[in-house]
Amino acid sequence: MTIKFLGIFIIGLCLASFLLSILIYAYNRKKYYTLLEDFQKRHVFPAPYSFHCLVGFFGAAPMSYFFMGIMKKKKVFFLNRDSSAYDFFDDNKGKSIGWISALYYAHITSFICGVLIALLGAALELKARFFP
Amino acid sequence: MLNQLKELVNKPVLKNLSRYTIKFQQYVNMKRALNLSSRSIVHEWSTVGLGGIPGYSTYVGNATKAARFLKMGGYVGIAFSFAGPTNDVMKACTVGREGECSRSAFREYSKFGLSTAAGIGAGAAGSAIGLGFCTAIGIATAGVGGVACAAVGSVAAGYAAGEFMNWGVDAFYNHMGL
Repeated sequence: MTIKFLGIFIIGLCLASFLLSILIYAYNRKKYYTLLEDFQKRHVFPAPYSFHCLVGFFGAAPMSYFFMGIMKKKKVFFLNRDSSAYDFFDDNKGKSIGWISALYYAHITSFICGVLIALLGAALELKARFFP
Repeated sequence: MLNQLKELVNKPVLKNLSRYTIKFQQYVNMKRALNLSSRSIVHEWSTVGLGGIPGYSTYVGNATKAARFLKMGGYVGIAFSFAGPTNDVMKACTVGREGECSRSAFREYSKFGLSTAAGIGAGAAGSAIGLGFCTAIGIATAGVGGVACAAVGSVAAGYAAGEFMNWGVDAFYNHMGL
């Protein structure tokens, strides 16, 4: 019974955060593309971000991770530590970019919850098959 | 840039592969091999920008078109994925027993939402794996090569995650009697 309610809670959380990520993206779509344009005026996206920036909502999660990283000046995957891209937000301090973090966390929550529920299902299936 | 290209083409793993598949010769001087002079490169670059270098804009344009195609394909794929459960739910609502309709709607639409979310997330992770794989076997990941590697990894991982998700969620629902 506990597993059932835990599973339903995870499913609900996954769907809610996925829906939230769609809403955040839809609401900030113009700002998102402006941000991409601004960045590309001065820098070049390293791969795989050069791919993600072209695929709209499907690439919004890794792009939000990328911008969050350079905003906090933390090491970003596939971007050299000495890259001038880390200075991008130094000139754009006035910009409201809180929605990037919200988009990132909504995406990551939905993905982790999705993986958890699939693993829970797989564990139940394996248990029933090998330890009936 | 030319030094990096030379280094990549002369990598031991890629040496044979590139010679036969990409048809690069193992030139000592890549600039000479590409029939470019420093003056011509700098002139093109400084007067018309990076996009103006002959051939460069075509490659970038093709990559952009391919990515746009993938983006549209993704939306079309989601629409088709939505049509499947809708069909099942409608069938359950018209011919099923009482209570079957809402049960089927919960099962099918939640499965659709979960697999879409997991597919998109795994696609992002898959692009990094694809890029890592390309780097490991010596395929150039700068520019268009990186976009292609990321795209292949992303599509493969997204598809695999969607399928795994469908199976896992089905297993969970069956065991929980939902």
